Amino acid sequence: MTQVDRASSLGRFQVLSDSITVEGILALLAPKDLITLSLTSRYLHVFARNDYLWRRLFFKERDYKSTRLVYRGSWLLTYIFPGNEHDEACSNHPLVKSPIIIQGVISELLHQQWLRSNMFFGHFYPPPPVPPTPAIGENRPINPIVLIEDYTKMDQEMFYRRYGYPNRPVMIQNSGVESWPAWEQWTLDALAAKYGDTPFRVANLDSNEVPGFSLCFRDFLHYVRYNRDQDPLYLFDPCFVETVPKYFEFDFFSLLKGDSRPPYRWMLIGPQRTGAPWHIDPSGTSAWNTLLSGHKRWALYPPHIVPPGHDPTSSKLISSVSWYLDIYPLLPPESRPIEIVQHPGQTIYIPSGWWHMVLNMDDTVAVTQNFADETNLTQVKHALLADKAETSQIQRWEALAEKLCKLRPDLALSIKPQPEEILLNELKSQSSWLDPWSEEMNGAWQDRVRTVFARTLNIADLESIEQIETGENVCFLTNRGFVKFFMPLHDGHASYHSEVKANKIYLQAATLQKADGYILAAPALIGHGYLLEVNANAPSEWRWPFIVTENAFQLDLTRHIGHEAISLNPAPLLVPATDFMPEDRYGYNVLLQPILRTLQFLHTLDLASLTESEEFQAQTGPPGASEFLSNCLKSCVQTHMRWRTFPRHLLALLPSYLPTDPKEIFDPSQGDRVASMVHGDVSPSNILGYLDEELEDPDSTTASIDVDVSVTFKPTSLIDYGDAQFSADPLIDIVSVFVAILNCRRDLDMTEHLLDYWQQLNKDATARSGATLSRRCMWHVLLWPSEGLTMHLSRCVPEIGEMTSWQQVEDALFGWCTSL
Amino acid sequence: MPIILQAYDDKEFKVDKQTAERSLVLKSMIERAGDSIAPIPLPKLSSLVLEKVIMFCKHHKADQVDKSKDYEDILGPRKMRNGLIRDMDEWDKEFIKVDKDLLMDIVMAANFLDIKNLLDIGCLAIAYMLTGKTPEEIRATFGIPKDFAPGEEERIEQEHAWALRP
Repeated sequence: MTQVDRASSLGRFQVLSDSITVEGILALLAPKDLITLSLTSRYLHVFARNDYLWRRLFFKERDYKSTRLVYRGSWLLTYIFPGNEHDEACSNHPLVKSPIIIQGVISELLHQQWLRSNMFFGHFYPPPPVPPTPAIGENRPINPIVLIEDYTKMDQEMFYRRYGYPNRPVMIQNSGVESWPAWEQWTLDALAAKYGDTPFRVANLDSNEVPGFSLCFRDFLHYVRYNRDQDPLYLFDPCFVETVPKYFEFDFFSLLKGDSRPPYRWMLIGPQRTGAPWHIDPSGTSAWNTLLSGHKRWALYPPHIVPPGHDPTSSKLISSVSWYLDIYPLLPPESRPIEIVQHPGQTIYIPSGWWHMVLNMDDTVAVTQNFADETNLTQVKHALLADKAETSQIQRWEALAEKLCKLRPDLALSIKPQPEEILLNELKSQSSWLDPWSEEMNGAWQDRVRTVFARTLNIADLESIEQIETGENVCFLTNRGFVKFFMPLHDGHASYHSEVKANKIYLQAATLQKADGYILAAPALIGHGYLLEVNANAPSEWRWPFIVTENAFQLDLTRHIGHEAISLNPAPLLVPATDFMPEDRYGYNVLLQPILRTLQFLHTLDLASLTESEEFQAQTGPPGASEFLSNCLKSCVQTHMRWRTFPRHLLALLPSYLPTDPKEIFDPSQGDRVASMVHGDVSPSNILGYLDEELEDPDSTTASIDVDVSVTFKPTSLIDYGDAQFSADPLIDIVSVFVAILNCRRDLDMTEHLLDYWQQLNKDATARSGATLSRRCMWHVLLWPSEGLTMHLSRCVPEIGEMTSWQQVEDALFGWCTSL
Repeated sequence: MPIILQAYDDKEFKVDKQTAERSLVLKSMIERAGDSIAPIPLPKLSSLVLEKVIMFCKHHKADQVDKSKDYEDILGPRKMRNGLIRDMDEWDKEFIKVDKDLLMDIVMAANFLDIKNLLDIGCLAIAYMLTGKTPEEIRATFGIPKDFAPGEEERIEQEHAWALRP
């Protein structure tokens, strides 16, 4: 065989990569032009014959009213001879009788295609998981694996505690699937015998235009047996199976009758090499999937980790085979997904919000269902109500909520509209409301921003106004500073007052006080006030309090305490710590030291001298610390009943665990150490810093974009003082650091930093009687007024679901502070 | 602040950030480097090609990325068969009227720099040149030699009899 010279055989096409030529250019051609092209040269002949192109052409021109598919071993032949009436012509055709094979064409693209079409994945088992880093001092199970549970040894309650509420995946075996009628009736041959001519829904991942169509079972099976496709067709049809694993028997959606309940239970027949690309199940639902035959390799990432290589904003999905071949091998072991192979008879549980991808290692038959139950109800509710494009989703929720409230009064609190939702609806009816998130209103909001700058700062020439996404308030970044308009949710007035007061105090203190080492900077407050005057006709109208600060992302650090020594030229762009949370102890130390130094600075400010000025005396401040605690305590049980982050047996025990008097939590008269100022929400999104990149090879700074760099995150600022409190319990910040920054890691060398700080803060304090430190910490966690902290906590410590008392939770979480 | 792009013949081009960010590759480099970005060498691009690419990006700099036309979806093979290229924007149509070697280089550059729209219209222009021609005309247009072994061409023609019949 002689090798063909690529350069000459392709002429001007030689400069292009084969994938652009085939997938970019030839994919645009009509059949006749492809045929002409195949007569020009050997390379172009092979390219024009590529079956990928003929598959696309076939499905573009197919008559979708037909449920037949006469698959002939290649898509070119299937295209030329689409019907059974062409059988004879086909078998006599030169393409079949004496096909010409052009040899010597070498192409990376064709090689890859061949691999993807012919690889056998039957032996493609995941590598053993990376052993967890041994924790020092604490026996903390970190399980980067999906556990396998025995169906006969786990009841419904246990399932909820171990997996449902902690939102953890699990594989269930021994559930008697072998006795399901489907076990025998759903083999490929049995289905073909019984349903040969019945049309089934088939999915074609390869096509955006016609992703699904109907096909009779016999033709599908023939295709399954003889195809050599990269992304084979697979079958996905609504089905009726009566048996369901006991944990999933009551799907809340079953309360919807008739048309308002979409198809919910599916039969899946996936030939080898098919699968589902990375996705999250729709509408906040969880899913179970029972495998009847074959093997499925599952890969999972928890909700907060977007799978590497997957772009959620793109409509083009990477097939699971491609992901495994192109992306998986590049991942360092600790970034690999959680993986497990599912065997026939096993059922996997995929909790709400989890990313998952499936690869069918051989020909598989499975049944699956998406459902709502008491553990994912909040997520389902949010998802259905957030679907603004589809009012039917909102109606679906309302119908469901009404029936569920009657059936399960215990869930009523989380089904009914939350106080924030009621407030928001009220706000929407006011004249001052302009939807900050709608594109049409964007201009109106930009005018508001201009008004604020002109009125407060006499700045009339804003060059750029950009809305930025931050939680619930309405924020804009301009070239002259940052503006935040407070929403009435979560007590927007109190946040406004806290933020103004905290910023003023910080600004004054920063000019007066010194600290050992640098303190996390706060962008200076340059203006504040109300957008609207009091409306005498509608006194309850929301007036949109606002603050204007320096741009926190481009702060001149040299003006801030301790930062003089750090010479950074040019000034770096600051980013939130969210994406750069450390993985090792060294990293935590880099993060923790400046945070604790800053907390010490805030906690020990000389408040009296700072606030004695007239300005502070005249100001209405945020509510006091004891008022705050007593309000939180009053609503605590109800709030947790609404959130439903903790399992119901723990919720039931909550009233008896909480104190009756807020003084039991914090009581200065008993000698509890009082912090001058508490930040109130020390979390990664409120910590800004820059990436200190040390280039491994200083000579190759820009030549390549894939330079190896070791990156450390250096924190520089602490922002958002909306939750700040004054003369309050410093434990609030300790709890926040422990949960949000340390992710509840109880390794000794992490918690000892917190303990050291606590001891230092309390060195002159007298011993208190009553509740222990660990109890007070636990109370603060439960009293925390926003949902994020609780959710984060239960994600970090899923074993909470299995604990039987709050004492046990307290010991597990805060046992480390009993040494005091 | 302007971004400086260097072609392989060392000629430098100053472009504004918004223009440069039409290229997703440049966009991610700019995001990483922040305001301190050094001149970016593009050793695979001649100044002739780079100039064209910049012209395209400048014209389209204000386009909404997610709202841009997906030419592949608009123009499937069915429409190509009718020789329809009029869905392409007038400006793009004029822009892509260049000699064939430059066209190939622009497509390569669009791929390398990840400028999806430019890649799409480049591919479309080439596909158009392949439409409705004879094999000889295609060979002449793209400098392709007939490199089949004796007898191969006849056999391929036989295989394609179904399609070549008038």
